[in-house]
Amino acid sequence: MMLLKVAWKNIWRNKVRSFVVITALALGLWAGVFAGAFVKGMMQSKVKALVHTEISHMQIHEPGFRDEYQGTYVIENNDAVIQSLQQDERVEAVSERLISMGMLQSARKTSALRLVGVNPELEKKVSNLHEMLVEGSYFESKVKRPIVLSQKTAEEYDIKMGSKVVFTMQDIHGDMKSAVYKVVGIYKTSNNMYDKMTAFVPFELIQKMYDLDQGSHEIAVWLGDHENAEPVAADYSEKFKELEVLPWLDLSLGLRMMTSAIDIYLYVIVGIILAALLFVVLNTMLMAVLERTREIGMLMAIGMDKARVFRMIMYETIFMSMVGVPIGLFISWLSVTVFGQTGIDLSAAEYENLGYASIIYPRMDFQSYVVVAIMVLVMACVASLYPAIKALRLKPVEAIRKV
Amino acid sequence: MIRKLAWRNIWRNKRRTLITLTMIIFAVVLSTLMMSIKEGVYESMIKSSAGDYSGYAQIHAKGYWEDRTLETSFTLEPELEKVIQNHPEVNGYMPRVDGFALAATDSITKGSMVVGVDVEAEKKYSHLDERVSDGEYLSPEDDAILIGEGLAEYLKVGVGDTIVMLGSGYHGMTAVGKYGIKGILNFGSPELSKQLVFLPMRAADVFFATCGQITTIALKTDKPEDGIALADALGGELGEEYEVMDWTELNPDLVTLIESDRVEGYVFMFILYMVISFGIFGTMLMMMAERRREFGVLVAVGMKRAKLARMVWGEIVTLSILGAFFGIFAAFPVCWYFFKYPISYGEEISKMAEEYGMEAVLRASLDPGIFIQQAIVVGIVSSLIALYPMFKLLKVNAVEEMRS
Amino acid sequence: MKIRTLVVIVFAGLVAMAASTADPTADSIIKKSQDKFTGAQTTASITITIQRPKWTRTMGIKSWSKGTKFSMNLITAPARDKGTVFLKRDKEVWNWIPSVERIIKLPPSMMSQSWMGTDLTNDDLVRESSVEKDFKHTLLGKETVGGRECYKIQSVAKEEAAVVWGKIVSWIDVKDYIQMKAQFFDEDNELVNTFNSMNVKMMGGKMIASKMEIAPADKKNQKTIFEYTSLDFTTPISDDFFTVQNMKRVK
Repeated sequence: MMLLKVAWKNIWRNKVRSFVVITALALGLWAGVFAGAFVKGMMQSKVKALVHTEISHMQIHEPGFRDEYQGTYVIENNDAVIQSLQQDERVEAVSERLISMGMLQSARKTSALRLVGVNPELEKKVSNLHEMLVEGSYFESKVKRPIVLSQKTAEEYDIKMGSKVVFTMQDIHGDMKSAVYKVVGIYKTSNNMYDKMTAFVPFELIQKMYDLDQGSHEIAVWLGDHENAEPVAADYSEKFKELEVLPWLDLSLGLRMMTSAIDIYLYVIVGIILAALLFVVLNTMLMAVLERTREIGMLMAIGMDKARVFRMIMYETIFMSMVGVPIGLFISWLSVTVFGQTGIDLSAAEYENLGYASIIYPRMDFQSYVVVAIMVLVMACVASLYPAIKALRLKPVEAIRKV
Repeated sequence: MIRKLAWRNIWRNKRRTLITLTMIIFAVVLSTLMMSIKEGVYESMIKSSAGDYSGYAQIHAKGYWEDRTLETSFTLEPELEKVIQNHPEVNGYMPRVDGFALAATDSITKGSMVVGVDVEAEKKYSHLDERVSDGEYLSPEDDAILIGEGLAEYLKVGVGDTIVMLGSGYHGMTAVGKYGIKGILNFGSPELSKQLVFLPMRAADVFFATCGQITTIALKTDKPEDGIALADALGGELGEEYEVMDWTELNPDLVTLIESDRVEGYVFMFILYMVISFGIFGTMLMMMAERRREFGVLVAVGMKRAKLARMVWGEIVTLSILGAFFGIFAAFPVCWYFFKYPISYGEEISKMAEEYGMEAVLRASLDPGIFIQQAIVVGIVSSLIALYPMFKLLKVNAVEEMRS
Repeated sequence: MKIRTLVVIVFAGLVAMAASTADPTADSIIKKSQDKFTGAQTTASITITIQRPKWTRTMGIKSWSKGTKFSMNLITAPARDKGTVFLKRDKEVWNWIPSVERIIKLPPSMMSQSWMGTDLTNDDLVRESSVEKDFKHTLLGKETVGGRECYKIQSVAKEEAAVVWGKIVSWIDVKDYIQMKAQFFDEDNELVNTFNSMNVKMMGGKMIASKMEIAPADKKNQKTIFEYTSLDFTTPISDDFFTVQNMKRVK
C-alpha cells in the first residue's frame, strides 16, 4: 500500500519526467488512432470516388448481359428484386436501367455508343453523375426527348446544347429502330473512355424503342456502408439464384486487387507509425528511469529491497499510463470527431482529375480505440521493464555518487 | 572554447548521449523506411503500367495520339534509328503498327486491337515471348498471329485454328486476311487479353497496306525519369513531323493516382514526425532537467547565460548531425531488407497482381535521395527543437538550479 | 459525312415518272423524285471515286437490287478487293470475302463503321429513305441548275423525326424529276453536305443523272463521286438471287 502511495507521489514529484512520459503515451495513442482513422476515411473516400459515378456498390444483371450488352438479356422479375432491396435496411438507394449498344449520329459523325435509360430521381441517389454536368441540367428541362451526353461526345460529334442526335439500335425483335433526341445536358467525368461511350435518356424512352413492356437490364444499388457490399451481394445471390449479383469489387477490373493492395500498404504505413510510437515510449522510459540512479540508489541504501524498487517503478509506469491513456483517448476522439465533421482538405492533390472528393473524413469505430489503448498500455509496461531491471543492478553506493 | 566544452559534454555522459543519439537515428530510419516503401510502390506501379510494354517514352508521327489512325504513320528511317541509338540511356526500342480490325470465326466476330511488331525486338526488350501460355512465339517470316487468352476464349479458338481479320487499312484500303493462331498470350489485364492480336511486322504491313510505315516506337529506359528526359531531348532533335511523349503523357491517370497518393502520404508523414519530434523533444527535456544543477553551477561561477545556451545548443546540434549521419547508415540495411524481401500481398492478391504483370509485393526503394532527404529533415527538426531548451537556459536562475 | 438519304437513290436507281401535272405540290415532286418502284429490279455498274486531300481511290461495283428489301453488291475493282460481295436482306448485311473464303454477318455494333473505306457506313446500306414522311416540304419556286430548270424545294425535318438534318434544300428537274442538286443543313442551318448530279442522259430506258457527287462543306478537297456506267431496269431478278449461298457465285 505504501508502495502505491510512494509510486504515485513520485510521479508528481518529478514534473518534467512525468510530463514527458505521459505526453509520449498520449501522443502515441493519438498517432495510432488518428493514423488508423485517416486510413479508414481515405478508403471510404477512394472507394466512393471509384464507384459513385459509374458502378455504385452493387449491380444485378441477367447472366451474360455484360458480355456484349445484348438487349434481350432482360431481368424479368425486376420489380420483385427492387422491392426486396428497398426493404433491406442496409440498402440506401436502388435504381434500374435499360441499356442499349447502338449507333449515335449527328449531322457530322456516326459512331457506336452505349445509351443508358434511367429514372433521374432514382439515379441521382445511386450515382453522382448529375453533379458532373458542365452545361445544362440533368433532365430538368421540359424537352420531350432529352439526352444527356459527355463533353467528349459533344466535341467529337460537333454538337452542343439543344442539338439533335439520332440513336439507332436493335429492339428485342431484332429490328432496327431509330429515334431523335435533343441534348439537354453535357457532363464530364475523369474517365474519358466512359465519357466517350456513354449517354443517358429517360427510362421510358428506351423502353419504347426496345418495345419492352417491363423489365430492365441493370439494377444498381447504393449501400450505407461500402464494406457491406460483399455480404449483401451474397445474400441476394442466394435469394435470386438465376441472376448475377456482383459487388463493386468485382464490377470493375482490378478493383478488388487494388483495394486489397491499398489495405496492406496502409497497414505497413500505420505499422511504421506504431513502431515509432513503441520506440519513443521505450526510449523515454529508459531515460526516465535511468535518470533516477541517484534516487534509486538512495532508496536502496535506506533499505528498500530490489523487488520493491522494481514494483515501485512498474506502478509508476502504470499510473502514468492511466493518466496518459485517457488524455490520449480524449485527444484522439476529439481530433477524429472534429476532422470527421470538417474533413481534411487535400485539394492540393489533383484529386479533381480522378473525380475524387479531395476531403477525407477520418472515422474510427469504438473497438479500435480500445485496441490501441490497450496496445499503448502494454507497450508502456513492456518498455519500462528493461530500464527497471537495469536500475536494479545498481550498487547503491555508486548510484549515490553519480552525478 | 565553447565548442570544446560542448564536445566534451557529449562524451561525458555516454549513456545519455547514446539515448538521444538513438532517438535521432531511429527517427531517420523510420521516416526513411516510410518514404522508401511509398516510393517503391510508385516505382512498381509505374513499371508495370508503363514500363515493359508501353515504354517510358514513345515516338509517333505528329498528331497520332489525337486521332490514332493508320493515316498518321511514319517510316522507320535509318537516320531516325541513328538518332535513337545515339542516346545511351535507351536500352531498346520497339517499332509497332497499331490498328483495329474485326477478328472473326465462322460464327463469332469481335473487335480487336491488332499490333504489328518487330518479333525479335519484342522478345529482347518487352519479353513478349514470355507471355506465351500455349503454342509458340512468332518468327519474323510467319503469317500467323498471337492472340490474348480472353479473345481466344470468346472466339472459342485455340492454337492451330484459323481466324479471319477484317478492318480498315491505310488510305481506306480494306484490310483482310486469314491467319493461323500460333500462340496464345497471357496478359493479366482482362481488357487487354480480350482484345490484343499480334502479327509480325511484315505480315501486318501486307494486312494494313501500310507500305512499311509504322505508328509507334516504344523506347525502353532504365528508369522512368530517364524516359522523361529522353522524350524532351528527342523532341528537340527530331523535328516537326514527330511527336515524342513520355510515360506521364501516355498515362495521365496513373500520374494523378500517384500524385494524389503522395499527398495522402504527407498526412502520415506528419503523424510520424509528430511522434518522433516529441520523442526527441522529450529526451531533451529530460536531459535538461537532469542537468539543472550542472547549469546552475556554471552560471554561478560566471558563465554567461548566452554562452551556456549556445553551448548546450551546440551539443544538441552536434548530436543531431551525428544521429542523422549514422541514421542513413542504419536505414540502409533496413530498406535493403525490404527491397530484397519485399512485403508480400498475400496469396490471393499475389495471383491477381501477377496476372496483371504487377509485382505482388511492397518493395522498398533504394533511391539515395530519399535517405539523404530524410536525414536532413530530421537533422533540421531536432536542431529546431533544440531551440526550446536553449531559450529556457537563458532564464536560468543559478541558485534555484543548484538547489534542485 | 451523311448521305443516307442518297443511298437508296444510288443503289436502286433514279426513275423519272411519266406524268407531270401543271403545278405540282412540293410533296408530290419529292415523291416522284424519290419514288422507287416496289417490286422493280435494277442491275447496274457503278464506279465510286473517293477523293481526299492526300489520296484518291477508285472502286468498281456491280449492283443488283429489288425494291428496298434486297440488294447485292459485287466489287469489281481494284484487284485487292475484287470479288468481295455485300448482300443486304431486309435488315441484315452479309459480307463474302473470297481472299479468305469467309462469309461474315455484320453485327449491329459494326453498323456505324465505314463501308469499304468510303463515306458510307454499313448502316447506310441498310437504312431506308425517310425523306417523304420525315420532312415537311415547301415549294420555293424555280431555279436553273446545270442547264436545267428545276423546282426548288425546302424540306424541313419534323420535330420527332429520327433524322440528323435540320433541313434539306433540293433542286429537282422539272422535266424528268431528277434531283440535280441538294444541300443538307444541320439544325443550326449550317451547310454540312452538298450533293450535285450531272451528265444527264438516257440510261436503261430512263433519263437519269449518271454522275453524282457529294462533298462535305467544311473539308477541302474531299468528295465521293458515283458514276453509273450501265443501268438496266428491265431484266427480272428473282428473290432467290439474293441469298447467302449466291454470294459466292455471283459475277
